Amino acid sequence: MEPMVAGTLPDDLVVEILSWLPFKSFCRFKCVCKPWLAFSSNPNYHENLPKIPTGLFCQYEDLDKKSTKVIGQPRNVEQIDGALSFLPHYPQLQHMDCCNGLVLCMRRSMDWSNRKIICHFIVCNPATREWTKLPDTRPYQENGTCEAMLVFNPSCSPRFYVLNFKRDPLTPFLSGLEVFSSNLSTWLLYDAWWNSRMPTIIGYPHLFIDGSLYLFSL
Amino acid sequence: MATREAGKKMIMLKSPDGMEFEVEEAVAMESQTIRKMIEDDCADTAILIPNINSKILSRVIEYCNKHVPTTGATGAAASDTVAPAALAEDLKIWDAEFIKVNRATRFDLIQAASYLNIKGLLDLTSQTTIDTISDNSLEEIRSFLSTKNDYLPEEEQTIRRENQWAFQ
Repeated sequence: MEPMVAGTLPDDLVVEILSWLPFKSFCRFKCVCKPWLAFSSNPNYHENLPKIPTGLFCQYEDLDKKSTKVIGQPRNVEQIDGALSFLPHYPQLQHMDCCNGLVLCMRRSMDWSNRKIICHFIVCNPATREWTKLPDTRPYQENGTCEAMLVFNPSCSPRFYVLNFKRDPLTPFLSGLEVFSSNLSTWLLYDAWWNSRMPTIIGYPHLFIDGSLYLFSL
Repeated sequence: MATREAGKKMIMLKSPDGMEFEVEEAVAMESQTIRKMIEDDCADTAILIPNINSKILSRVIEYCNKHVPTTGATGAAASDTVAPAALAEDLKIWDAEFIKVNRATRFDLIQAASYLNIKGLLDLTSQTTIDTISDNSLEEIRSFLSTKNDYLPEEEQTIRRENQWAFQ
């Protein structure tokens, strides 16, 4: 047998070894050297190496109860708890948005003395089953509406943001915006900054790509 | 030797350093590479295994001997009296002992398992290697797998930033 040069292995055996890594460790191993980084984009190896678990997260009505699940999960990764069964059980917990693997849920509660509504948000990661409760939002008018969006890009930063747009009744305009930053753990108000009188349509699909949030407007 | 036990066909495996190993056909066929040779009638009385020295080949045969399924008339006594779960547990303990080898031997075993296409052995050797290094620093991983860091400092900084979450 030819002695191996200082115990080196051919690429396909290195890939064989790396295929045993959990995805997170694999991301760390990509920093070892350029060929290892290139493995993940090599079509010959792509199939065997750990990949970002992907799936379609959807919400559906189940006996008058809103439920969520992940469909189209690949079989070779750990199952993702798409039903979010690890969250504390609130009957009115609603799925609001998801972004790059994190999920935003919300429930409303009524402050009867002032007839104001308060939103309670939970951000969770169905893959790791971690979740965090955000501080309550400011109260808003009983018949006003709000629309919350989640902004998260793990390849830039482990921080996430929640944008909560507020709309007063009987107007097409957004009247305010509050932003939660996981870094500061608090809501910041951007009402003045937002007051552009631009009739932005919320409730329609929106997209967060490359650090920008795209919304519909008229 | 070939008639040591009636009904068991024996196969001769030869390493490039001239050693010969006589094994039961069923044991040799744990290797998909050898199985294919036998099934395609490419195997005469002896099969030369290139690239695998006698020391490693004997370890591989040891592994196959242990892992060959004991079915039918051959070795039925063992599988009849021991529950499958206990058998699997016994194999796991045996594997753990078997793989307690130095790094060079383990790499030789990985290469042999890959060439001979013995999935169980390849999985065992690869997984043990990962278990050994997965918590190590990048520098230790490089040294263990004899890989050079070919990133420029700024390139390394960028790729580390992109995967920063994996270091936490």
